[in-house]
This record gives sequence, C-alpha cells and structure tokens, in this order.
Amino acid sequence: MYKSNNVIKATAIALLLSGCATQSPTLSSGNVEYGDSKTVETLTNEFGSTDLQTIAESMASSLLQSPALFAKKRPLVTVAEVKNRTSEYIDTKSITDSIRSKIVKSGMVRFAVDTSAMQTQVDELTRQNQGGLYDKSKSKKMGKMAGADFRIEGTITSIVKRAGDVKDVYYKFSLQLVDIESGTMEWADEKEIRKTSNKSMF
Amino acid sequence: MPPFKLIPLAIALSLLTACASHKPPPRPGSVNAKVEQLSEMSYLQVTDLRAVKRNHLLTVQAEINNTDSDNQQLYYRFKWLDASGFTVGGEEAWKPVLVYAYQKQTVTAVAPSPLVTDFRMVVQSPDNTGQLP
Repeated sequence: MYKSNNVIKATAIALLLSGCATQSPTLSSGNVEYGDSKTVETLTNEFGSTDLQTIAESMASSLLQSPALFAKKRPLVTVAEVKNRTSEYIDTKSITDSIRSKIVKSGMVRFAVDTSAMQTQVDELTRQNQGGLYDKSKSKKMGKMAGADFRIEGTITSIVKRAGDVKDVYYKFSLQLVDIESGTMEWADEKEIRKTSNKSMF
Repeated sequence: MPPFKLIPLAIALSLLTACASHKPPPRPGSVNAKVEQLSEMSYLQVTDLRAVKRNHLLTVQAEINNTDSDNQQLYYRFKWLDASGFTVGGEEAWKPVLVYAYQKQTVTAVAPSPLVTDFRMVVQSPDNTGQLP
C-alpha cells in the first residue's frame, strides 16, 4: 500500500517537472552543447575570452570619448601593432580587431587599410587597372587612397607570481592614439586585469 | 502521518507556488526601472544610477553598495536601447567586479553609438535569494 502511494507521488512530481517540456530542434550525442559566448570564463588564469572582451569594450568606449577624435568629423584611423610582451601567446590582432569593430559600429570613426591588409588592397587596385579586364570608367583609380589622420598602437604586458599553490597573473593592456602628421600622442588609456588561482584543495 | 511522507507533498507545493510570487513593477524613473536583477541579490544593491550625454554618447555611472561584512562578487553588463526600444551594438560581455565589505563601488559605461537613448543594467550576484527582485 505504502509502495503504491510512493509510486503515485513520484509520478506526480515527474509529471510536474516535465509537464511543460517540449522537443528542442536539436540533433545531439548529448556531450556537446552551445554556451553563452559572453559568459565570464574562469577555467584557468591564462588570457581568455572574458579578458579579450572586457579589454575591447573598455578601450573602445574610452577611445570614443577622446577629444581628438571628437574634434574632427569622422576622422580616418589606422591600426598599427599591439606588441605582446607577456610570457604567453596572445593573438593581439584579435584584440585590435574587436576594438576596431566596436568603434566602426559607432559611426564616428572610419578606418584606413592597415599594413596587414595593404597587399590585398594593392593587388585589387592593380587587378582593376592593369590587364585590360575592367571598363576604365568603372575601375577604381590608382593614387586615390586616403591617408589616416591617426594611428592606434599599444602593448600588452603581464606579471606572473607564484607562491605555493597560489598563482597570480596581472595583465596591463595599454593603447595610444598618435596624430600621424604631428607625431603627437592625443589619447592613451590602460586596462588592468588581475586573476588569481589556487591549486590547494583546502 | 510520518514526517518523511510530507516531503513529496512539500516539493510538489513548492513547485506549484514557485512562479506565483509577483511584485508590482518599479516606478518609472526609479533606479529599479533601469536595473534588471537575475534573482534578488542578498547583499548588493544598486543605490545610484546617473546618465548623461557626453560627446554624443550616453555615459552611465552606477553605484553598487555591499551591505555585507564579506567581499561580494558582482557580474554585470549593460543593454543599450535606441529611441524605439531596439537594442544597439549587440550583447555586451559579462563583467566581473569584486565589491569589498561595506564598499560602495562605482562602475561606468559608455554607450557604443550616438543612437543610444536608454539603457538597462543587468546584474547578478552568486549570493542571491533565488527570488524575483
């Protein structure tokens, strides 16, 4: 009697828990699932997605408030190198790409082709102007590229310390905006990140 | 009735009543109208929010108060809205902030575009009541 009562209660609870469930449009082995790309990732204390995203957001918002950029109407900016002076591999191009995307989306700044994309730009212009494949009146002319007003450059450094089971990592990302014509630094900012891990079980 | 027999009944009742707690919506213009808490935070409160347009961009400053004697972790991000209420600039990354015991921590954010006219601050603390704010 007691047993059948418990079965009924368990069934009722299971029905309550699954009553609203519907089939998801997925085909899965059960071992893979999509997560939130914006989540705070603390799997290890090496440079991670949260660090990249917070640096990009912080730098982009700070740069957009720079009086030098605000003084000119949609100034032309190019991205130079961000030097990695940490002890680990960090794709600094990925950081500057994120910063650039955020700034471009604001509509307040335009970006000139940077050195890494210059060869592609030259190849395209050459293809349009040489070889006779294109209508001359519709091909883009050589010698019309616009020079950037400002250059963005920076560094990322780290200090790593270990004491017993504790590892402390401090990152500093520095970025600066340089007026190309005058060579003056018009804006600079830093983003600091501290991450500490402890291997101890207690 | 033996006490262990009441356990399934209590679970069933709690499941039925879990979604039943509704609070009145916050007053327009109040801090709570701009703050979205993913469950009510036990020790952290957004005590002040101010927004101003600088260089065409909405700049927001929030003050978070820790009422506890222990340090508290806060995760936050902003949602930026245009005049029609559409989100601008995509989703922001969640940002972690450590708020020391009894500290009033200030966080600032700048809108990603001049189109932004409104915002929501989304906050979550691991130490929460599990209830709707």
